[in-house]
Amino acid sequence: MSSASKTPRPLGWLTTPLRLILGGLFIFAGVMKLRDPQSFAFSVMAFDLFPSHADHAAKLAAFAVPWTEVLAGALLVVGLWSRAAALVIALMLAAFIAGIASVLYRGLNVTCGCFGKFEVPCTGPIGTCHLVRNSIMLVAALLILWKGPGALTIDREPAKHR
Amino acid sequence: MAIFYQAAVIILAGILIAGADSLRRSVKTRPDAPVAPGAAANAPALELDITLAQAVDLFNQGAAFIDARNKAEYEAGHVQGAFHLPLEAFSGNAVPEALSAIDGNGPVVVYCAGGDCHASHDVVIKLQQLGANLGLGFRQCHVLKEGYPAWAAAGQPTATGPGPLEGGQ
Repeated sequence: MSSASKTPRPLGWLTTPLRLILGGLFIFAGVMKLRDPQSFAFSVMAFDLFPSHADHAAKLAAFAVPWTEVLAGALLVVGLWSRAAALVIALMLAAFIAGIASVLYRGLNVTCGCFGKFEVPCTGPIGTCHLVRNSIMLVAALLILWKGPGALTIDREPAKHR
Repeated sequence: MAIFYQAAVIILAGILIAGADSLRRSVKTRPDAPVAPGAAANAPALELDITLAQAVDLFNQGAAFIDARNKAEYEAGHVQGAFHLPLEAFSGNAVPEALSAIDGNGPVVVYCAGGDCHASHDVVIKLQQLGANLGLGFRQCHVLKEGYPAWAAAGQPTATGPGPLEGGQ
């Protein structure tokens, strides 16, 4: 074993708790949306990202977003296909950030619906708090994607959390 | 490369499950068109979105008005006699108390702040769903697109403070 392999990887120790927290948050967010898909559909429509003739896309998004959140979150928590799940979550967060930035740019008064009726730590209409919150989660997802899933995983890939 | 294939599988699985779920539980993105009151009522058939002049006519005919804005906005000024019924009042399986005071078989006008405000359309969808599920009516719902600002600017009757169910008007 080379001396380089014994060197602890900076931030590598962080990926296990980050994986569990981020996965748990996405499961929670998805379940809360699935409990009241109509409310999330209202939020999707309020973003004004879909043209009026694309109602079917908005309806599908009202179900596809939470189900993908639950799937990716669960895979992240159990540590199966962890990096792929982190990639999916990173892509979703990038899309959410773009949507929020678009809402802020257009000055729309929209509630997030991100965690159903539990909006923590950001309350009220969408603002910079939501942008910061999602950016922090995006950094966490990218860290897992870069460093690997850490300990307590089903994945057989070499542990990179040391 | 395996990561990208696995990510594609996760997204595809999410979309497939979502498609199956959307067949089982439908959501609405737009309210249904109001049902015309019928020839016997001798009233013109109105679209879902109505103008200020049409809203004034309905007000003078005694239609119920619903304010879908938040409490602070409502108490600062609302259409005289309007009930305060924001979207949050419909959360969960609860039936808002105000519904028992509103004649669901007559015309109902919902408004919010005008402009890009979606709350009035969302409240109409909720009213129509409850109306259909519980037999409460609400088949003649309309939205005052221009919202409360246009109503107040036109000098139409307004009130401030709590609503009819809280001792105000």
